[in-house]
Amino acid sequence: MNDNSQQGSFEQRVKRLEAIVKELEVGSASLEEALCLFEEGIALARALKEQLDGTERRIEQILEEGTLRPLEVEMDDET
Amino acid sequence: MELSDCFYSVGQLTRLIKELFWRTEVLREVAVRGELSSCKRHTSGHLYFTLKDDTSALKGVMFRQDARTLRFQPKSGMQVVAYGRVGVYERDGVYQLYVQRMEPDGLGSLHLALEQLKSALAKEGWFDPARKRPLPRLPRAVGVVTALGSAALSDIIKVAQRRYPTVHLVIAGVTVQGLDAPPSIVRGLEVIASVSDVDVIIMGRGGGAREELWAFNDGDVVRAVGNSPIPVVTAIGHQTDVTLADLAADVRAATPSHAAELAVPLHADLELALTEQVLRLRRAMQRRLEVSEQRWHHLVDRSVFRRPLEIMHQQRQRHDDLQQGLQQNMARRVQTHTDQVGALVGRLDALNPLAVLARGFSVCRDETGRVLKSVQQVSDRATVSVQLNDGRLHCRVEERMLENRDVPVLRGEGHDERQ
Repeated sequence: MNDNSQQGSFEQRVKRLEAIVKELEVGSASLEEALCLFEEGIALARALKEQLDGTERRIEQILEEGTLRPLEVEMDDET
Repeated sequence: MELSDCFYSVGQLTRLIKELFWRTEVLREVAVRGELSSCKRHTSGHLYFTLKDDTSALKGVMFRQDARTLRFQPKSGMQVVAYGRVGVYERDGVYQLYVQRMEPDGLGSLHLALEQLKSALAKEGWFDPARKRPLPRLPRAVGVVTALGSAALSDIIKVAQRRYPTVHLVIAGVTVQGLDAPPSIVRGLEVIASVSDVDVIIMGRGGGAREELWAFNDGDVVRAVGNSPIPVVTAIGHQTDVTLADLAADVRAATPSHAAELAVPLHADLELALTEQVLRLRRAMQRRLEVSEQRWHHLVDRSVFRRPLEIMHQQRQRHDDLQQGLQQNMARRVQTHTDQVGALVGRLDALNPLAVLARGFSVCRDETGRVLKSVQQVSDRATVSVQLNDGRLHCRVEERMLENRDVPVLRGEGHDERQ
């Protein structure tokens, strides 16, 4: 079984997870297939959670020539 | 008929003229472009003015309730477009424009140019709805093309971070008005597209006068938006301001904050949706296992599996029973036969004529071996054999003596010799 949990955009992987859940709920897969799907689903969910939680907060400015540098932003007092 | 025969009163004639104006369709709803002069606001709130151009003048009035909706301060010397109807004010014997709506027309020729550019770009297909792409559900980074330090930028940042605290923003600071704006904006879009993580771009600026937003009507900007490899959300001016860039964008937002709402997902929502999927996944798997387990139990619970030896025991018992039955049966039969045989042997024994030999009786046979039962069956001097218990005697008959005359005479078995 390929580990495609890292491949594809967020969108695609979410769709794949949703498809897996639907197929398992329908219940027509053999036990082996079901276990396989389950594993894939869990791996996908983990990868997606990582992506959701993973990014560091970053605000950058990109300059004319293409270089990136962090941008200081004044935060309002209101949350 | 003489002219002097048709006398009209002033009122009559004026009314006739008024009627004439009323019946002329184009005068009932007309847009007039001209320069304001003698613009005065009466204490009543009504606005009185004259619209003029090189050749003519037109009196105009805008009553208070309509004048209230003016979004600018009308001043003499201003170029305006006035919308209304032309009617007759009988009292003064004048015709005038009754204005319902008025707006500045400082960009008269510019407006025309805009319309022409709009048609040209539309023909090129930049505004085609089919070109518009959906926004990604979770962009890895959000690009922002706007003026640094602007309210628009801080609004975008604030909303973006509120929705997704760890959002990655890449900002290209550009000039958003003036002659330098279009090339700056185009360059901004280009540069931002070069950042591979950027999956959506917000382009915009805060509210302003029409001239201030004009850069976003530039053909180069429109093409840059249309050519962008990454979906673009525009937020230019206020809700009611529509520029050509807005028309070319994948999505048009009402304000910069709104643009951030469209471009940046709610982290909490995504997390919730993911959690729900995982829950459903686990439950579905659980149920699937339960189904298998049920089937397993269903099979295993049948007595064949619970007491597998039971069958064997039963069979064995049956086997033993049968065997025993068989043995008994056989024994009985053997016994019966033995008894039968015994009985038969006994009877046979009893019938055995030779048994009497032991008692002294003998069996007499003639030469042919025929057993003699009567003295009349042989003649004198015949040879007979006499069987005794332990052997035979070969004898010659010396004399025959008939003794028992009650014995019936034998027929067909021998001589019937009467003595």
